[in-house]
Amino acid sequence: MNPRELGFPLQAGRPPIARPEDERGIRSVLEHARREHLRVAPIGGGRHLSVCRPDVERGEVDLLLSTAALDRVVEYVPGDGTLTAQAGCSMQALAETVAEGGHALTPRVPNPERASLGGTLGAGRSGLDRVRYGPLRHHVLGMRVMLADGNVARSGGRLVKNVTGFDLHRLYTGSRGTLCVILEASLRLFPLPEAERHLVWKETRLEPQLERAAALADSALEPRVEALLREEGIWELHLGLAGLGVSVAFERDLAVQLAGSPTQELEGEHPELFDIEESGGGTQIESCAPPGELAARTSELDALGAERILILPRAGRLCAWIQEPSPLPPPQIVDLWPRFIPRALPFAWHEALAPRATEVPALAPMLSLQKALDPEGRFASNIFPGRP
Amino acid sequence: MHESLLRDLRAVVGEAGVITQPSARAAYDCDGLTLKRRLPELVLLPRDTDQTARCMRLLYRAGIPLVPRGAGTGLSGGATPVEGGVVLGTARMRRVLEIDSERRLARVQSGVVNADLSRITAAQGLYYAPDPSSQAACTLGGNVAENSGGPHCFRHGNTTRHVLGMVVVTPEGELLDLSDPRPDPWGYDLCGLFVGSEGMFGVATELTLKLTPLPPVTETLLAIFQSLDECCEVVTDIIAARLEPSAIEILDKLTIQAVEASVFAAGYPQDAEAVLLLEVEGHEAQVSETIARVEPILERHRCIELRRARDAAERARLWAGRKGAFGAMGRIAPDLYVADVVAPRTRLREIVRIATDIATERGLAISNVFHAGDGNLHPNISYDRRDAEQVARVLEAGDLIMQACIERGGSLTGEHGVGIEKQKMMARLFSEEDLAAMARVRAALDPKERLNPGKMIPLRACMELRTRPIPAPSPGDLE
Ligand SMILES: Cc1cc2nc3c(=O)[nH]c(=O)nc-3n(C[C@H](O)[C@H](O)[C@H](O)COP(=O)(O)OP(=O)(O)OC[C@H]3O[C@@H](n4cnc5c(N)ncnc54)[C@H](O)[C@@H]3O)c2cc1C
Repeated sequence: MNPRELGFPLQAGRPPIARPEDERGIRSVLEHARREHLRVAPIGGGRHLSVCRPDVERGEVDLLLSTAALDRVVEYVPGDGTLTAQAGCSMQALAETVAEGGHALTPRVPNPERASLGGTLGAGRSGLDRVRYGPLRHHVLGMRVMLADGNVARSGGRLVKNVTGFDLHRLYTGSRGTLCVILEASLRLFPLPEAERHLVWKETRLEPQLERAAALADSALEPRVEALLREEGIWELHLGLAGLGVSVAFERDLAVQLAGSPTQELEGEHPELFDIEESGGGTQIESCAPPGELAARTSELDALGAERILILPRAGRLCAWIQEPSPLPPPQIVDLWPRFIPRALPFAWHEALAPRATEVPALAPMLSLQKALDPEGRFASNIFPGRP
Repeated sequence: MHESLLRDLRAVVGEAGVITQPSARAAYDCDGLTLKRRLPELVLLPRDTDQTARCMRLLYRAGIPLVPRGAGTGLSGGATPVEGGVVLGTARMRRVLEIDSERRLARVQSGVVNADLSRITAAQGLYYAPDPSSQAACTLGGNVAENSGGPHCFRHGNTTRHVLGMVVVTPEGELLDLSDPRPDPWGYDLCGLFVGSEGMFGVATELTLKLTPLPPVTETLLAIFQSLDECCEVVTDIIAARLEPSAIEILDKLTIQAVEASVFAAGYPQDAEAVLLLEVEGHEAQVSETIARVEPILERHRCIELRRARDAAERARLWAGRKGAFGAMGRIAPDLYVADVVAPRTRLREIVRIATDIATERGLAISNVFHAGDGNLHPNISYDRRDAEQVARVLEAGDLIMQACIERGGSLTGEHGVGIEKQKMMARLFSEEDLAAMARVRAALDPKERLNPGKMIPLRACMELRTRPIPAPSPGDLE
C-alpha cells in the first residue's frame, strides 16, 4: 500500500497501523477499509489491547487505527469544572492542564503519560480513585465519535448536568472499539486536593485487613483510595486521603483511631500504587464480590496460582495476576464464569472460553447494538473473549 | 380494542389491573405537561415483572403501541398517551424486594415512590440520594427513565450514578436481566444506556439502587440577597473556588412570595430579591471548613443575612419551601410551564436575565427556582391554559429560552427529559448525524417503535432510517 495514495500515514507491521492526522484522515481510513474489506481496530495508546489480542495474533485485525494525532485540548473551563479534549491526548497531559486551574481528573490511570483519553474511555477502565469518585463512566459528559460509515455523531454535551437525548456516550465508554472511533470527549473535573496523605497497614493474613477495611468503610472517611494488595505473602491495606487540608488531618486521625497506627505513612500520594495495575505483566483476571465474600473469592483466585492480588473492598473488585498460567484455563475459572472479567488472558484461554461467551447476560441486545452502529462489522475488536 | 385481547389481558392482570372506563382513563390523559393530552385506549396496571412481560407480549403481537407510566409527574410529556396506544402504569408495583445494608443497595419494584425508599432505609443509616422535588409522588422507575436530578444531585449526581442494575422487559415482552450489581458492566453498559431513555427502550420493572450512608453532619444555610444577579454570582464563585456543598439552590422573589403564601411557607423573607439555599454535609472538619470558605464569598456579593438551620425540623421546613415551590406557583395562575434548561455555570446570571427578558417582553409572569450549582435553571412561566393566545406566547417564550441556552453552550434539559415538549428543539441542538445515531440505537432496541413512539427524536431523523414512525401527538389532535 502506498501511503500517499491512501491519504493517511501507514506504518508497516502486523497488522499495519494507520495514524491519520485528523478526523478527515480517520474517515479516509474507514473508507479505505470498507473498499478493501478490512477489519479495523481503533487504538489509543495501545495499552489495553490485551482484550482483543487474540484477533491480532490470528490476523483477524487487518488494520490498527491510531487516534494518537488527535491530541488537542478543545476546551478547559475552570469556572465550570469541565474539560473537552481529543481522544489522542495523554491522561498525563490532561491532568497537567487541569491542575493549572486547580482541578483533578478521574480516573487516575496507571502510567498516565502513555494512556490516551480515547483508549481509557474505550477500555472503560476506572482507576484506584474510583473509591472516591466512582467509576469513569459516571463522569463522561459527552462524546463525539466516528461511526464505521464515517458519520460523526455527538451525544451529551460539555455540561455537568444534561439529560438531552440518549446517553450514547455511556454506551461507547467501555465498548472497546467495537462501536465507533472516539474522537473527543468531555469530562467532569474535581477539585485538586489541597493535601494528601497515604497510610499503609501490613499483615500476613487477609482477615484482619478486611476487618480494618470494614471499620473504615463504616466511618465518616471519604478516602480517595482504599486498596488491599498482596505481594510476597504480605497483605498491605492502603488508604489514600485527599482533600481540604483540615479535612485530611481530621480523617488521618480518625483512620488511626479506627485501624491502629499504620506501618507506613506518607505525605502525598503513594509513588507506585497507582501504577501497580500495569506492572508485572502476566495473566490478569478480574472478579467481583460483595464484602462478605471477598475472602472466599480471594481463595478461589489463589487456587488459580495468583501471585499478586489487588482488592478494592468498597467497589467489591478483585484483580489477580498469574505469572505462568496453565496452557488451558483451569476448571475453576470456567466455573467462575461470568463472575470474572478477563483482562489479559492467553489466547488459548480465550478459545477455551468462547463457547461460554453466549452466557453473557443480555448478549442479544448488545449484538443488536453492535449491528445497528456497525452493520458491516468493520470494527474488529472483540468485546468478549471468544467470538459469540 | 379487540375483545379477545382485552380478555387475555384481564387474564394476566385481573379485573383491577385493567382500566377501560373513559372517565377512569381520563386520569391518564397527560402527565405534568398538562398542555398535551390524549385519552389512552386502555390502562394496564400489572403487579410484577411476569405480568408486565405477558401483557407486553400480547400487545406486541397485536401491534399496539405502549406508553410506560410511573406517577405521571413528568414534565415533558414522556407519559402522554400516543395514538391508539395503551398506558402501562407501575402504580401496583410498589414492593421493596431487598435492602442489603452491607452492600449498600436496595432492590425495588419500579413503582416504589422515591421518598419511601429513603424512609425505609433510614433505620440502617442509609438513604437514596437523588431527591427530585416531586419525590413524595414520583416513582423510582420514572426517575430512572428520566435520569432525574434533585437539589442534592449537585454533590451526588443524577439518578444514573445510583443505578446498579435493573430488570427490563423489552418491547417484545422478553426479559432482560441486568440486575447483577457488578462494579463494571460485562460488555456494554446497558444500564447506563437505559437510564434516561424516557421509556423508549423497555419497561424497567425492578431496580437495584445504590444507597448512601447518611452524612454524620449536615448544615443548611439560607443566604438572603437584594439582588438576583449577586445571588447567581455567589454560585459562580463557589464553583470557581471548587468548593463542594451538597446542594446549591436559588429561589427568586416571585417564587419566595408564592411559597410564603402557600402551605409550604418556610420563613423565607418576602422582601428579598432572592435566597440561596445551601447545604453542606460530611464530617465535622469538612463541613466547618467549607462553610468558612463560603462565608467571604457571600459577603463579597452583599448577602444581607445568613441564617443557619438550628435543628432537623428547621432544615426540613427550609427544604419543604424549596420542594413545594412548583406547587406553590398555583397561587399565581392556574397553570405553570416549567422550563428545564442548562447553562454553563459561568453564565448563570446571563441566562437568568435573558429568560426574564423573554418572558416580560411577552407580558408573562416568570419566576425562577433552580438547581444553581449544576447550572440547571427552571424559569417558570405562570399562565392560564384556557387562554389560547397566552398559551402560544408561553410556548414561544419556552422555545426562545431554550434557543438562548443552546447559543451559549447550554442544553435543553437537565433533568425533565425531552419527551414531546422539547422534541422539535432537538434538531437545533443536535445535527442530523447525531440524531440518526440515536435513532439507530433506538431501532436496535425497539425496531418496531412500540414504546413511546414518536417521542424525543424528531421525525426527520427517524425517516433517515426509512422507518414509518407513528405520529407524535400534535397540539391539533390533542385535548
Ligand atoms: C412538582 C414537581 C417537581 C419536580 N421536581 C423535579 C426535580 O427536582 N428533579 C427532576 O428531575 N424532576 C422533577 N420533576 C419531574 C418528574 O417528577 C420526574 O421526571 C420524575 O422522575 C417522573 O417520575 P414519574 O414516576 O412521575 O414518571 P412518569 O411521569 O410517569 O414518566 C416519566 C417517563 O418515564 C417513563 N417511565 C415511567 N416509568 C417507567 C418504567 N418503569 N420503565 C420505563 N419507562 C418508564 C415514562 O414513559 C415517561 O417517559 C418534578 C415534577 C413535578 C410535578
